[in-house]
Amino acid sequence: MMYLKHIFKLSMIAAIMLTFACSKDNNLSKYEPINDIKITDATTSFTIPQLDSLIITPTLTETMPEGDSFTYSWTMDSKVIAQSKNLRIKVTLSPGTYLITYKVTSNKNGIYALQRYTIVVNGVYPNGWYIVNSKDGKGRVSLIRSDDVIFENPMEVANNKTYPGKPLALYNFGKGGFFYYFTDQNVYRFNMNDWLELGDKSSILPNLATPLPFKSTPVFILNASRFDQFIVADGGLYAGISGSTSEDISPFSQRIPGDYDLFPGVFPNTYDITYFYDNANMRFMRMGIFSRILEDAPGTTGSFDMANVGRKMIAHDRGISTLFGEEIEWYFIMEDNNGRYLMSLTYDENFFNTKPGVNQKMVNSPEIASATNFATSSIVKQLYYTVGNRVYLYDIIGNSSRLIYTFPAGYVIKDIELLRSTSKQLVIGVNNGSVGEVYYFDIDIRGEFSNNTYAKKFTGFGEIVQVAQARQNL
Amino acid sequence: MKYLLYVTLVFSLFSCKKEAVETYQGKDGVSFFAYTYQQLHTTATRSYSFAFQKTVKTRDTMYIPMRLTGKLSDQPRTVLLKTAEGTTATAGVDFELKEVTIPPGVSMFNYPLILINSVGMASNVYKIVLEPAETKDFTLGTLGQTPRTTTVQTEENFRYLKIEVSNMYNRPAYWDVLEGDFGEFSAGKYKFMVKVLDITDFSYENIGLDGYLNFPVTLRNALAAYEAANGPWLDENENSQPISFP
Repeated sequence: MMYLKHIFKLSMIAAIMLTFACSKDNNLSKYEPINDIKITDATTSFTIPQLDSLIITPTLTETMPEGDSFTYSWTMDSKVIAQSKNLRIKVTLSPGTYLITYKVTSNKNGIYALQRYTIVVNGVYPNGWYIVNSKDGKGRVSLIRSDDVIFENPMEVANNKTYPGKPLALYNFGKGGFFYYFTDQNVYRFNMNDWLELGDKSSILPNLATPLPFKSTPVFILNASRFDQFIVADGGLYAGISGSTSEDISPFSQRIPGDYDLFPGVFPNTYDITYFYDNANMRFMRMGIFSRILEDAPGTTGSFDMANVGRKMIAHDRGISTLFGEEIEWYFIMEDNNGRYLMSLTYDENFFNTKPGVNQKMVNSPEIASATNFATSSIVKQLYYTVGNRVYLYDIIGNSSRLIYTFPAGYVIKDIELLRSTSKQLVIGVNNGSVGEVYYFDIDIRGEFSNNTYAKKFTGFGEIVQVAQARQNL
Repeated sequence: MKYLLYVTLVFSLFSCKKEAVETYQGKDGVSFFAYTYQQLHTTATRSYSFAFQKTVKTRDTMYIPMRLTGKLSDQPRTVLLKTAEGTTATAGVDFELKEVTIPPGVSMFNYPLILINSVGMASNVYKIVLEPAETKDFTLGTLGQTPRTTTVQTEENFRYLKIEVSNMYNRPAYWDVLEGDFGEFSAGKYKFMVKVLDITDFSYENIGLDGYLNFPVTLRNALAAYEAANGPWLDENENSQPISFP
């Protein structure tokens, strides 16, 4: 009996112990008010250009400030970058978005407060307008940054070397953030964020058919899917792989063989097909993605036959394009013995291919025969052209032009370019002798310049060769 | 019974104990390794021809990527390959397999297969099917595919590697990839390519996407220049057709 009792007792003890083996702590500790610290910054997101100083001065609030002191730490990617109350560092990070964690720890009781800051680092020279110009006989590229700060020669500053040769052209591309700069003696690739040189003709165009200098201004563009890249130089086509980053340089091919003399322009149409224009045989040519065969465009019906245009291409610019950079409408200024024509290629949504668009002789347009610069709108059927110091607006549907602006006598307009994202700003590079000036014009609802004058004027450039938007490729 | 309860009680006190983590113990393994797209574990064959070399060679080395499974070692270890079913080449005459020592701490390495330019190779294509042999350090490694990530291609660990070796201008297996952009294989075309491009291995792994796209352009230009100066570059077959690129 005694025996069983024992068993019962012991079983009970065992059961109780098993039941309470993993019990919660009794929270019987006494609460004492402590110094409660909070970081109460309204601004927790900062955007700064690369190489600038990042300064963050957090606001701390304490409930019992007396007698407490703190330890501070600023952490990025689990690396402590500072241990001071305020952060003050020079940003050497690559452009991108970063998170910084700020931790304030009480030395009295180890209690801490955290705050996370978002830092967006832009390139030193992110967006704006490239001004290719020639000062004191030397080529250079200046930048008017989007905050209107002018950098006269970032290329030389960033790379600590000179870039000899006559400047010819600049083409940039947002994906991977690089641009090509052509002089008559070389071609260079730069990172558009910091302008560090990434390569030159030996790595970019090692297979150039003719020895430099270039006889005419080359062009560069990526195809619509951005896998292929093209350079047209001295009438020859060179193709390469785009690479996904600015550092990823692929050599262009040799001149694509064939009997052709390309107009310096490349017209990406679909993700697959890119068009070119052969001024020798006066017809369109094309190349498929990852193909290296330049073939004649097939014949088309409609407003003109792409395989037999019979006119010389003078200029080109973009019209309407889709969100994906595909199915772009391209405008062309063409010429034959009877005058000048506006022609275009558009995309046929029903048949998923390219088709001829507008084809009209440009009439009622003063001085059109001697116009040198053209820019077409991406939102309305309008086109700007310039002759000497005069800017004309051509109404495509009405097929007539009117003078909308005249620079002072002695000024010669060298290049015009529409801000592609809006088509609401026309940028004009104009030379007064060997002195270059750049003007921004806001475009009003009629396509004319707001208040019939410029919105901004920038001076101090050498003789301007080209204005180019620092932007995405297409 | 009572004691049993006491014991239970004692056990209860110590019931919540962390378990020790068991680790796998066993012989480390070795296997062939290739990217999945190379299809070397399934249909593709690696090929080598003494005819395709820039200079006349009596012996050459083909490097075969291999991977270890198991623990890394701080000691040098030995790896050996052996032939498997399907082999038509003769060891010692057409090739040599030797035990090789791999350095400490290495998980991937290239096994050097010695190929010998034998008399028979002038008129035969020999097959060598290889598999890892058991050594004092290694057994056959874990086989299978690595998971795909957004940045890394899938890779295969596999057991049998097929190699074809000869001294003839036979169409190399890698030509399947080139056919579209370089056109049909022929000995004459191959010789022209070696002359123009100054390389002998035109496999995609060697020439990359740039070469794959740029070389045909270079070759078309070179052939046009050659033909303008000398007339057609003839192929070395019975019909002696002029070579061409698409």
